[in-house]
Parts: sequence; structure tokens; C-alpha cells
Amino acid sequence: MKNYLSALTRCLILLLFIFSGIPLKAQSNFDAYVVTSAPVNDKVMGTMFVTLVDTNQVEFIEIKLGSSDGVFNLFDYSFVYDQTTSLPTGCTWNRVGTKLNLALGEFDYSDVQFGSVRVKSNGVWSDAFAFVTN
Amino acid sequence: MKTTHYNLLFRLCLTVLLLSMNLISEAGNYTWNGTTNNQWGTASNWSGGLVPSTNDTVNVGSGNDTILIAANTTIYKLTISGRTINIGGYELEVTHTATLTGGKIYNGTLKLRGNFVTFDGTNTDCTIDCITAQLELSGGVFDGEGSFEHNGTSNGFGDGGCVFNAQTIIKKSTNSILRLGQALPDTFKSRVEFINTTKQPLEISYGSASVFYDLVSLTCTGINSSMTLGNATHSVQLLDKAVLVTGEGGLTDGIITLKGIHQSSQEANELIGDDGLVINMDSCTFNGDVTLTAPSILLKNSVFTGDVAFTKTRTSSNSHCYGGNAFYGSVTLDNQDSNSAFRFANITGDHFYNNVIFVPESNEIQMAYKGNTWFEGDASINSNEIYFNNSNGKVILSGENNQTLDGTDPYLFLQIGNK
Repeated sequence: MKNYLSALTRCLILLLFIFSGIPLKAQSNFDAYVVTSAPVNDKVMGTMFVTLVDTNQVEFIEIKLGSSDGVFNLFDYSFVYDQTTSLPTGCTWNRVGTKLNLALGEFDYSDVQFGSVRVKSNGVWSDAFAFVTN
Repeated sequence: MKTTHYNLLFRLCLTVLLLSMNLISEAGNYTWNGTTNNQWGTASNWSGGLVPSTNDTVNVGSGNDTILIAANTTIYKLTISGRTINIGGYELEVTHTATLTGGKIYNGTLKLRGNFVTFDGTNTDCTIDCITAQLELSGGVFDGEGSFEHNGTSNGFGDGGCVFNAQTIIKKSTNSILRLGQALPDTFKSRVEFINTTKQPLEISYGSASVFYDLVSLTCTGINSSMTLGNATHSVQLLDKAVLVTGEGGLTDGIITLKGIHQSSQEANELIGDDGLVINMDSCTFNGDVTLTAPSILLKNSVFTGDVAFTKTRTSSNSHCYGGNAFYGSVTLDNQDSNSAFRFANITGDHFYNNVIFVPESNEIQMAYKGNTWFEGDASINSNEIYFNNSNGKVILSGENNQTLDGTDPYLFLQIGNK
């Protein structure tokens, strides 16, 4: 009986290691992309679409956008989860289930945008979901 | 004793003052009048009655005569608005400022250094060796080979209207903007290499429809540097043998934006980059094959008539291509980046008129993400990381003939639509 339990424990530990080694990729269901309007006087309106893995204990969604890698000069704000008031000018929060539709207001036009999205849950920030888009 | 010291100091200061005055007075301003003959080295041909020297400013105005230089010559500033200067196979060096608005300079080497060089109508048929803090290319026909480098902190905005008939190198090596073709198109009839090694953009054909007839090499190596070829309102023309290729210095960083380029020839284009390079194509038409290899590739509203191969390399960010592209030749796609996805139709759909091949063991590629995407040819999937319709785009199999979906791995369709 003792040997059986020991083997079971080993199996469980092995499974734990196997699953903890799976990297977080786009197919983990977390997703984000940005849509911008046509530029007017070199300004655009932006909307960020985010799909969360789940909504448990989510505190903040950090959105950053820049015109070059690592420089977030276009937009940089952390939305408080489900807070729809007291947002920066032009920003709105909309959530349906795990899908977020976040208006980002107006910012400078850039041919290419570098984006970074992080989620803070249970006091811990996730790795950034980083993208570059046109 | 004290008085003697003051005397000595006074004399010393006086000497320094007189010496400096003497130096300043040597910097003259000379205007060509050519009253004696056509020789640069004849004193009586100049308004000051002396042959211009290294600290002097030279003005050459309108006229029909040709000024002949018979030895290597260095001056401080040059302003030429007319006449012709025959360098005689020697070198004419300008060390501070050159304002070239008319006339012609030929037969030798024109070496330009210092603070400011503007080409605004002077035609040249000589080798040009130009390294200046601020460069403006605003007109002139260049029949000789030219190397132009902008290395200062002030922006160099060129109006354009230049015709380069020989091999040309244009380089930016400083944190300021170098802009070409701001108002008028430039014409490059021979090979040209554009180089940017620093932050701030090198903007080619910024506000005009420049024309290229031969190889266009691109080198971009500075972190957060960028190079833009073309613009949103004019169509840059790649005619005859013109193709885009990677320059000798490589594409190792920054953003290459190709906007509104129209390639008429059927020569193959190949841009291969590394490290942090982003290649961004917007509203381009390529008749030749196109091969792009870079950590990030972005495609938007472009037409590819030939075969294309796009390879996303190395670990970087997810690449989200806007979409709206039409591919008439075969398409080969590969993602070598195991940590991020290569996404198509992020906003609007693409149209694949020919076969699509996903390279074996490719990492994640997302097709028809949000825009409905048409496939008219066969598809071959040899990787289990090819996903369709992650958002609400549909796959539409619209070929007139039977279409084959083969390969070793499953087709992960979420939505298939009708024609």
C-alpha cells in the first residue's frame, strides 16, 4: 500500500512538471490586438481588444503602445478591472465575459505600433503579451 | 618689477590680438569675374585680386565661361549659381558650407565637408564625396558617382528633384532626420544604397513619387532606427531593373516601412533581416517575387503578383498583419519563432489566388484571424500550429477548380464560408 502511494505521488509530481512546462502561447486563449482609425492630422483613435483567460481575481489590465520597440510613447495606462468611470479622456471600459473592448482615445499616428498587454491577478502581473502591428 | 610684468603681459596680449586679427583678415570673400582668363589660379580673375585659399568664401555667379582648376584646391565656403567649374581631374574641397544652386561642376572630385551642404540645381559630372552635418538634396543632375552622408544634429530636409545617373550612396549616421523627395520626385537611374545607422528616420520619397531604375539596397542597423521608402499619397516607381535588396551593411535593427511602392519589373526582391528588424509593407504592388525574412513582418493592402516567401525569424513579438493583401503567385509561410505568432488578416481579409504552403515544423501561424479570407488554390499544411479563424474571420475556399488540402497535419478550421 505504501509503495502504491509512493508511485502515485511520483506520477502526480511528474504530471505537475509536465504541465508546468507548457509555455504560454497565443493559443492559451489570451489574446490582444489594437485597431486604429484612419489618421486625421496625424492623429488616430485606438481601440484595444483583449480576450482574458478568465476573470477571477483580475485587478488591472495594463495597455502600452509605442511607435518603436520598447518605447511606449503612444498610450500607457492601467485600467482598473470593471471600472467604467474616472478614466482618462477618450478611454472607455466594456466587458462581455472574458472579452474586453477598451477605447484608448486619441494618440499620434504611427505606421507601426508596438503593443504590450499585462494582467494583474491576485497581486501578480502576468508576462506581457507583446505584439507589433500595422 | 611689477610694472615690467604688466608690460610683458600687455605686449603678449597685444601680440595675440594682432595675430588673431591677421588670421581673421585672411578669410576673404572672392567673386569670380574672369577678366583675365579662365584659370582659377589667376589672381586677377577674382574680385579680391587674390586667389581664394583655405579660409576663403568663393562666389561663382551667372555667366557662360568655364573656370579651370589646375591643382587640388581647398576653400572654406562655396556658393555657385551659374557658370561651369572644370576641376581638371583634381580635387576641389569645401570645408565648411556649400550652396550649389546653379551652374555645373565636372571632371574630378568634389569633396564636401563641414556644417551644411545644399544641392539645389547645380549639375555635376564628377565624383562627389560629401560628409556634412546637414545635407539637403533639393535639385541637380548628378552624372558622377556620389556618396552623401548626413551626420549632424539638425534635420536635413531635401525638396527632391534630383536626378542621379550614376551609382549613389546616401547615408544618415546621426540622431536627426534625413528626408529626400519632400516635394518633388528624385530619380535614381543607377544603383543606390540607403543606409541608416542611428535613431530617427531616413525618409526616402517623403512626399513625392520618386523613380528607381536599378538595384535599391537598404541597410538599417541602429537600434530604434527606421527607414521609410514611399508615402501614402504618391506611388514610388520601381522600373526597369529596380528591385529591393538587403544592403552590404545588413538589416539588423529598426523598422523598414515600404509604402505605396509599385514595381513594374519582374525582378526578384529579397530583404533579409535579423535581431529586432520589422519589415512593414503598406499599399505596395510587386510584380517580381518577394522574399522577406525578419523577426517581424507586417503586410497591409498590398498586391503580390509573383511568388512570395515570408519567414518570421527568432524570438520577438507577435506579428499582426493588418490584411487586405492579394497574393497571385504561390505563397510560402514559415514561423521560426517558437514564442510568438505570425498572424494574417488581423483586421481585414486576404485573398490567396494561388497555392499556399506552410513550411514543415513551422511555429504558430494564424490565418484569416478576423477578416474573411479567400483561398483559390491548394494548401499544404505540415505543422500542427497552423490555425484558422481565431477571431471571427472565415475561410472561403473559392477556387474555380478542385482544391486540394493536403500535408501531414490537421486543418484547424473554425469557420468555413461560401464564395
